[in-house]
Amino acid sequence: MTPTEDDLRRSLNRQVAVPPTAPETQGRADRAIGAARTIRRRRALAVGAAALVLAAGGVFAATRGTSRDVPLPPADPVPTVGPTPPLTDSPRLDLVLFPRDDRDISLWSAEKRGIVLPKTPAHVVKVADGWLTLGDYGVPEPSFWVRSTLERVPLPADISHVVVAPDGRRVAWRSDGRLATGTLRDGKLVTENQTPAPAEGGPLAYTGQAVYLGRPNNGGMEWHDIWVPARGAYASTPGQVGDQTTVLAPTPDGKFLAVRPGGCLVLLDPLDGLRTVKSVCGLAVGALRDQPVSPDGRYLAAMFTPADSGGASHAAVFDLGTVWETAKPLIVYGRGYDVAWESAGTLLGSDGTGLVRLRLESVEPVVVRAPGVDLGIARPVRQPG
Amino acid sequence: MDEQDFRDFVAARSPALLRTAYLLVGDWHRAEDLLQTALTKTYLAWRRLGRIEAVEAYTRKVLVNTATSWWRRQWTGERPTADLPDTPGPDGLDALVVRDELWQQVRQLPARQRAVLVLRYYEDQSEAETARLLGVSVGTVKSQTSRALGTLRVQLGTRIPEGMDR
Repeated sequence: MTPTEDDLRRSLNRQVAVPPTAPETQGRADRAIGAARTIRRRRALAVGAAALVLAAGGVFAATRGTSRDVPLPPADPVPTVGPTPPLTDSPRLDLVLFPRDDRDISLWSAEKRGIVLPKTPAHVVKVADGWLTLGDYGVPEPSFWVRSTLERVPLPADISHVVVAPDGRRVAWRSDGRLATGTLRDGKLVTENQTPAPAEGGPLAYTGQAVYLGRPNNGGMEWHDIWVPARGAYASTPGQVGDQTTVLAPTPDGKFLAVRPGGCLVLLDPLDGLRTVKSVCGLAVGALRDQPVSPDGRYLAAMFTPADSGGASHAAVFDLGTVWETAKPLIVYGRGYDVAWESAGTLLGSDGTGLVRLRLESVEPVVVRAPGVDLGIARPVRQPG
Repeated sequence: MDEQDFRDFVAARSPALLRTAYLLVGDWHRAEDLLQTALTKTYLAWRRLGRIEAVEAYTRKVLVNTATSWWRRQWTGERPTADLPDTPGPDGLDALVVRDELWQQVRQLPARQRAVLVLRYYEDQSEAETARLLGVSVGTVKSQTSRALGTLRVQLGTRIPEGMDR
């Protein structure tokens, strides 16, 4: 046993010595049994439905060969039959359902369509016309544009570092040794600007005018820079190596929100050499989820570590109009959630056992009932920007 | 084994499984999600598992493989900040600070390398058992362990107090 191994053993044990909350054993068995029974019922229904369709003369084969669009409930490989259960409290956001039984990942659109996603995506991003299903960030993997018409459009094979501007139409990416920006239009990704790419890294955020480039590494950035396509080809800016700024998201007015060491939140102007427009420090902002800025640009949703939480992160909202003076969150919820902005004033959150709606005026979550979410883990789809 | 046996199993073993889940995903809420998924899959297989020893091994295998498959992919959307929140230590010794930093570096490792470290150094599983749980060869476990430890040494090399890792 080397000292590093010995240290590692102690460190791992130390992390779990005291869970931040008492282990919640009550209810785990009930939830597991309930979910398993639901899965069994769905499987039985699917088998029965497949038998009926096959008996009807091969309709199944013809249907399956041409479409991956299925009615709710999703995740069954038979794209047929049965009434779609109405959602009693439909989220206005699309959801991605990660099933508990290793079936295909599916997308439940706000229009109550269940769509089996091509391949297993690492990210699903809502765009103006459908969704992008993307591989791991920075890794060239098959990616697709699933249009609202359910037409599946493959993106270039070696595309990576795909980021979408807040308008849901303009896209920046890396492909074939080049950086590019373009527009999703008429079923095509139309390239509008190209420039030779640096050796590594790629777009991390895109306002629609400026592309934030970089290579994240271990919580910081190996390098970062800005490319403004309207000003011509990308040219490396000296002195941008080892920067500790982490850009979180573009804002609707074309700026970038970022964090810096010391718990500093900063607003940067990408058209003025990443000049710091505003900053505030001392915020215990932890990891952020995708799409942290509200559609109107007024609020930032983030994970926040209260001083008395024993290191546990909670979902929180910051008012981007006042946080620069108050240096504190507008509201901190009772636990961590995966969140997405449902509207300018509400978030949809997932905590693994279900969905909740989070409001700015109350820390109490409101349970969102959506039949079928007990089949797996439902997450709000990331919105553009 | 009947439903009550499953409830007894969950009551007895889920706290320990939750701790392993936490080390695999680095967040208590996500660990709860992961454990709940593993328990659901376990109950689906309950009748064919036969004996309680097989159940725990099965659940642990599901836990690890779910964490390194779609679960891993699901969470890649998270963007860690440059400044991770401090975890207050009870004694403030440099060594403990380094171990906390070591944990932050463990969290940055690829999911499978982290799983190998958790199984080998938290659960004290043998290389052979770790390989069986992950569905890989013993050689892969050795190489992943070596690579992960090497990364940790490099990342912490300038911050480990003198004499601590020499």
